[in-house]
Amino acid sequence: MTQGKTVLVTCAVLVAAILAAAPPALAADTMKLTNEVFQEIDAEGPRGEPIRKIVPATKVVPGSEVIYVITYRNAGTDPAESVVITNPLAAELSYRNESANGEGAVIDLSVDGGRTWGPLGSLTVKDTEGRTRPAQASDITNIRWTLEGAVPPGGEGQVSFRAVLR
Amino acid sequence: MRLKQILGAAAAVVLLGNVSHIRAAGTLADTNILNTATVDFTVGGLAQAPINSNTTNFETDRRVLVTVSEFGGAYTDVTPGQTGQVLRFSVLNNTNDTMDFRLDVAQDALGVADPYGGFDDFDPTSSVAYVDNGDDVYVALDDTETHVDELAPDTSVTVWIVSSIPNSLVDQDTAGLTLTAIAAAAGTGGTLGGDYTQSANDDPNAVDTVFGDAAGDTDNARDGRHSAGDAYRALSATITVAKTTTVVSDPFNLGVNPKRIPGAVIEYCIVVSNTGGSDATAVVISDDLAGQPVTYEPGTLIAGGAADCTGGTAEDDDDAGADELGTGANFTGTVAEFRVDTLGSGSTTSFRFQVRIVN
Repeated sequence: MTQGKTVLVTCAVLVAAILAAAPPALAADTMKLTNEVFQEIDAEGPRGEPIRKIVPATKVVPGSEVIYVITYRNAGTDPAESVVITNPLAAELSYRNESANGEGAVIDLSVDGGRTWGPLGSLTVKDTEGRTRPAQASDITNIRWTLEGAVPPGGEGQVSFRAVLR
Repeated sequence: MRLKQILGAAAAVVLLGNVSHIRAAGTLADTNILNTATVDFTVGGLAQAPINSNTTNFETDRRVLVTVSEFGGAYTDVTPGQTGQVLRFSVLNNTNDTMDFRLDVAQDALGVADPYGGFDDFDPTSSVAYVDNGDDVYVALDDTETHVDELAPDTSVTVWIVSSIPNSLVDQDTAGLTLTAIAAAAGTGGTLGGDYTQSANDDPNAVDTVFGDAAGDTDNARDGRHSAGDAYRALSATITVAKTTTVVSDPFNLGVNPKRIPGAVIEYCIVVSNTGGSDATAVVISDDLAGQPVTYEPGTLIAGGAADCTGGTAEDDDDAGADELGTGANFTGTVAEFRVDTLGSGSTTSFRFQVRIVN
């Protein structure tokens, strides 16, 4: 009888261990994230008037501005909470000030690769001589969106930002 | 997952350090720009493994920026008949790619304004562009390349226009020329690539070309080329000769209010001026008295006087001796001949001799 009890306890421990060890994101149904990059070009409207058109980014030269759009979707069965999207910026891209967008998101910036975050006005960098100066948009290395609410199953949204090729 | 983020962040910081000194050319063409976003979240209070987005990737394209500028800001002074006379230019490549440039030399049309206030008067008899070998000194044996080859981004090179100057020019004649650099494909050292054309459509699988150049002297903005003008100015000597006469004496009035009557002695003064921009050498003036009713009064040659016909040194009548150095004079047959070895730009000298009106 004692043996049986021990076995049961062992089994339970084993099961708990297996459950704890299993990577929580094994399931395919979870958050999905896609990013796309666009640029604005001059085009003609239906009456020949000059308009701006958004197209996939293919002709990008220094000075060109690109638009990144990140789409998130909860493909799981449970609400996703404390959702934070981060985007490290390629070194060749210079963040366009105040261009980060995201409904229901608190936006933070980083100039140190994501170690510290805050609004641009609160960030500082060291120049080549070691002097500290206020950070500029061109110093931004990462952008972060912290969603204020949960994303329900099937819920989705978009965040975006613009950057200029150095 | 956290480790990957830190590594990624560290890489971004290092790269930013390299890019912080922004060059005018910018990010090199054919650079891949990658972007991956990450989402962290919790389910039921449990942190989940972060999910990465797809990685977007686009290649940067080529933006052509080139500037040709003239060096020196003034005429290049030349002498008629000279060869190997150079105008100096600089070709600056600010394209985000290594470039070749085809060079074109054009002569300004007659009458067209040159960059320094003059108007085109002549064309050099030959003008060719050569790329300097890097020492910024024109040496024909060293500077032989006729196109700009493999010029790196944000780098410039000196280009010479080398010309032969025609012989028959008037002092202060100018010749304007324009150097144009046309963007061409680099790739093979020593060989000029084809002219670039602006890509009409976007090709996501190739490096497109966009022209960003400004308008030059004789070309338009965004045409894949740039041009600048410079000019030669010919300096030569311009000799003017003026002759005046004064009555010295006559047989009746002697030296007091003499008249020009048979037997009177007349002094001729020949004033020689160089109004040109260049010194004149070996200037010879001759005055032939044949057919005139006068005879030369021997021993009256004076050379090297002032513009007002005073001063100068007496010369004997022969064409030999120490008195012929610097300025010289002789009377041979019926010809009075005067010589000055060097008449400087802007200088004047005079020669005098006396004749007698025949009876």
